[in-house]
Amino acid sequence: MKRSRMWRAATAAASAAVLAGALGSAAWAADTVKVGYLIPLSGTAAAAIGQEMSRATHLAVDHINEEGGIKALGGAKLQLVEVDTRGDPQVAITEAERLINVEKVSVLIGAFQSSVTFPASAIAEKYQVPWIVDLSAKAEITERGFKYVFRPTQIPSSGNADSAADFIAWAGKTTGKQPKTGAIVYENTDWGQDLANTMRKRMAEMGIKVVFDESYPPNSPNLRPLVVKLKGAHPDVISMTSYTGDAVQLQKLIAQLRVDAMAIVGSAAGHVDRTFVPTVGVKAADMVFTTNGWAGYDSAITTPFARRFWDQYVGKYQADPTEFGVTAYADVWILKDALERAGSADPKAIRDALAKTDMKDNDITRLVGYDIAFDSKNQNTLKRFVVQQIKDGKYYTVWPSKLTPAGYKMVWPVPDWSDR
Amino acid sequence: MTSILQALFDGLASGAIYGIIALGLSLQFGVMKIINFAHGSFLMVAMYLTFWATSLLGLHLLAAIPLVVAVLYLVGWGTQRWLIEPVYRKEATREPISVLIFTTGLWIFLDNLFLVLAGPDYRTPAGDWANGVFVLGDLIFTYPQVAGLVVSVLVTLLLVLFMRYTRLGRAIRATGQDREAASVLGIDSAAVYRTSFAIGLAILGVAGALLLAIFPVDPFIGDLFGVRAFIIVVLGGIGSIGGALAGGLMVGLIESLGAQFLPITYSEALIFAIFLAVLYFRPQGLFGVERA
Amino acid sequence: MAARALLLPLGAAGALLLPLAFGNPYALSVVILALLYAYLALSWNLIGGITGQLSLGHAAYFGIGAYTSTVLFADLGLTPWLGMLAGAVLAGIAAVVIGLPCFRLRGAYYALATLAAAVILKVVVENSNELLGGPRGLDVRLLHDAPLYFQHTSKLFYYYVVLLLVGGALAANRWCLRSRFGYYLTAIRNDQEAAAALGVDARRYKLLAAVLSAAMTAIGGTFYAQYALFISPEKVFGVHLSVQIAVICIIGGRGTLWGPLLGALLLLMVVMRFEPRGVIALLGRALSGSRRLSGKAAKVRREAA
Repeated sequence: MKRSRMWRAATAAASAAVLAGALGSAAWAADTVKVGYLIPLSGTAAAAIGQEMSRATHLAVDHINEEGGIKALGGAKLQLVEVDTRGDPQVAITEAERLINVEKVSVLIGAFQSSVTFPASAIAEKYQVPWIVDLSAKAEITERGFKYVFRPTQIPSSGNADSAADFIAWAGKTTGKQPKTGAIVYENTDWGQDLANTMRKRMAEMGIKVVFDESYPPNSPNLRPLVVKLKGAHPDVISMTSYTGDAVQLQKLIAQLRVDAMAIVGSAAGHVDRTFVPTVGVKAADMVFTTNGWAGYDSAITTPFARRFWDQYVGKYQADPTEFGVTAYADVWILKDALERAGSADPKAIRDALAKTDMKDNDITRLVGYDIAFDSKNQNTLKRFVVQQIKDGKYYTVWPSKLTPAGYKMVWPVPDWSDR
Repeated sequence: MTSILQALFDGLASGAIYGIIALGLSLQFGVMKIINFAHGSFLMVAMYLTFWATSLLGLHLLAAIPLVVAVLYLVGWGTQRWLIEPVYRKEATREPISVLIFTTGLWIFLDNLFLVLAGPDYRTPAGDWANGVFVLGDLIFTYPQVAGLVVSVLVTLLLVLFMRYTRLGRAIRATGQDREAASVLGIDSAAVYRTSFAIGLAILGVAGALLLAIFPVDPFIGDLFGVRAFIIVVLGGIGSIGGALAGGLMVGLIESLGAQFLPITYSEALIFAIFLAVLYFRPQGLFGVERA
Repeated sequence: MAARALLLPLGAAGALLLPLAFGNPYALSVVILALLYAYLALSWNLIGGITGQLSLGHAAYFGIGAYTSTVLFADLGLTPWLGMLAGAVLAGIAAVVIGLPCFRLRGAYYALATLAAAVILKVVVENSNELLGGPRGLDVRLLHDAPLYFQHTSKLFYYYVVLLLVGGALAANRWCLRSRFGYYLTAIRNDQEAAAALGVDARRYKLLAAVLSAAMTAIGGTFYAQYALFISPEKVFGVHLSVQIAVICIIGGRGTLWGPLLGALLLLMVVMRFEPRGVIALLGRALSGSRRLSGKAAKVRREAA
């Protein structure tokens, strides 16, 4: 008896809540713009990166909303609907459908991993909702020629390897210490293979003989045998393409087994992950080179806009943001810029505004370090990678040399392990 | 040549650690005939405990081992008593399938629990010990490798002696061979199971600490080593203690030496192929006893 | 009695009309995946449930199905409908190759041997490059509305195909449970030695069940490839998939007709959301509910027989 009454009361309360919710959201919809955000937060090696990007994205939304939202929409606030992809394309596809059809988002951002972004952004194209690709580098993402998929803050993977190769050529020339032999170590995924293919071609052009060329399964339990073999090949320069877990393992092994080379050049990703140096150890990570999609604090945090982001991020999370966080932060501002010009939360209007994006020398381009405009396939071809060297646990931009902070001198070739 | 010698030693060193990862599983598997899919996750737990012992308590990694072992012994006893026992009892007559399902759930649960507790980052132990090396000509041995070899052999030896010469050890063996007969002899099989499961996890505690010295931990590390532990158990022969170590060494050597001649992307397939071959020609495992 | 006779046509009609209840493709896509899992669990049930051989390597057959039809379509332009049959035949052959050595093994040994076989296949595909796409996986070329090529932009198309598959798998299971063949399989499960003593050629019947189960699983693989339009070794050969298929069937009640379906429905509610809370709920079910569920399913079966 008592139970049934309670049950009735509960149902009444629940239906009231549902009703209120429905009414509330109807009245609310006019002054919010719903943004779907797909990012790996668990269940994958990329989760650590996803967490950083998610934090920065939330921070950008907060900043935009604090500043009065989207002015062209009467101060409409951004509302982030975040989804954990777990690095699983199938989850992302299903969630993209849900975000579009159930949550009715106006635009999507995501999803870091190429293997996830590639199939999931096809859903956005199908329903004609714009998708801003953050850092997924697979070339085909924009080469499909989709109308609704934009890539403002990443270039195809080959661009990353090209920058590394350009740097190696430049460093050999300016120091007079040219590498003669090279090694290519990469994870056995499409990303790893794309970079390795480019690097192989570029080394051949530079006259560097490839003496070691091997991939490994990502997230390997034991890479020691690979490093033993690498050591036996005695390469002058080693190109590495790895995510965090493997990058950490490889560098620790290189230090332990004292693999001596003129330079080790990482390909951003794992080598610029905020946990790379602390996990490898300051000594073992010393003097490693890596490409980076972002030039770092000294070179890029030069405006009040950038400083606000940096200070608040550091204040909140006790960690320095890296390329991942910076890019995620910028992507939301790129969206804001388009929303202001679209003057509408309609996906089609946002698409048209995004396509006309043209940013030069503003706060956002100074933060990321390159201009932003799209070609006919909605690809921003203006992005470049820089190369940095880790010294005493800090990253210093060494290429292009105009971005090198005053007082830093590149070490090339790096000393043998026995001399450190 | 140097590479081959180095690979040989490396294979033995990682193999020894694989061996004691599998040791606890072999014990549980042999005595209770259960498939404990959460084994890899318990390894992850052991690694995190070691990490916290070194970073929060400031302990030396080797000094953390007794602490981790003690905690895992209790966790193991509790898991068997309150979680697995109720499931196991219901299905005691046939192969315990429910336990398989249950431990699969536990696997997913523990991984996600530690994702919440520890975050997704990779962690290595505090302190410089793990990076120390002995240099012998062109060969390089790290401290953790040497410690891993010594401790693994020691633990295996101790367990063999325990099983052979103590009353409890003999009771465990008797229960594993024939539960009904053992209970006729007055052995309380439930108590034996609790102890075996607890000892199994305690050994995993040693393994976790040693592994952390060479491999960073994250919440999903168990997936990497869990399946491998099963392979080793079957290779060595279910329930065979020396067999687990031998199986581990074998896997370590295959992995390390194999990669000197084949791309490392084939290592996993090589291990599994040899596993299948052994199963085919010696289903009881290399060191297992033929059973009717 | 009459009420039960009505149950089947009513259920079928309900299933046919179900999509009308969904206003958006998201819900339908969840249902399609659940039905696919139900189909896979039903296929697994033939060998893992009725015959009692705990296979943890069914992803091998799933992957063979997915890759065979996809490669035949990409390189020869063969419609996946025919590629599906080719995949089923290949998977059947694989089941013989894997089964012959593995059937000497019992229980946990058998489980691990099948798991190992699937891992080997996965690694081989990961190391292939030209034909199978290596770790990148393969895209199925997008044709939009081409039902003759097993593709359609509407999810309804896939819904009805998978519904048909589930219906077929239910029929196969029902036949296995009722026929002399199924009777032999059950005898093997309960006591292989006793069955052999009665003159049942245990190895032959186990192989037959394994081949049937593998071929059906491969068809599921083709369906998945056509539905997701992208396959990769990790996705279709992975250990997680093998375990998931087995777990779904076991949770619902293995060796029963409706158990696998029930298991898929349960898992659907939990897994699709990937919530830690959901996982804890799943845990609770595994702990306390699996017994009751299989009991219930067994009762359904007894009544149906």
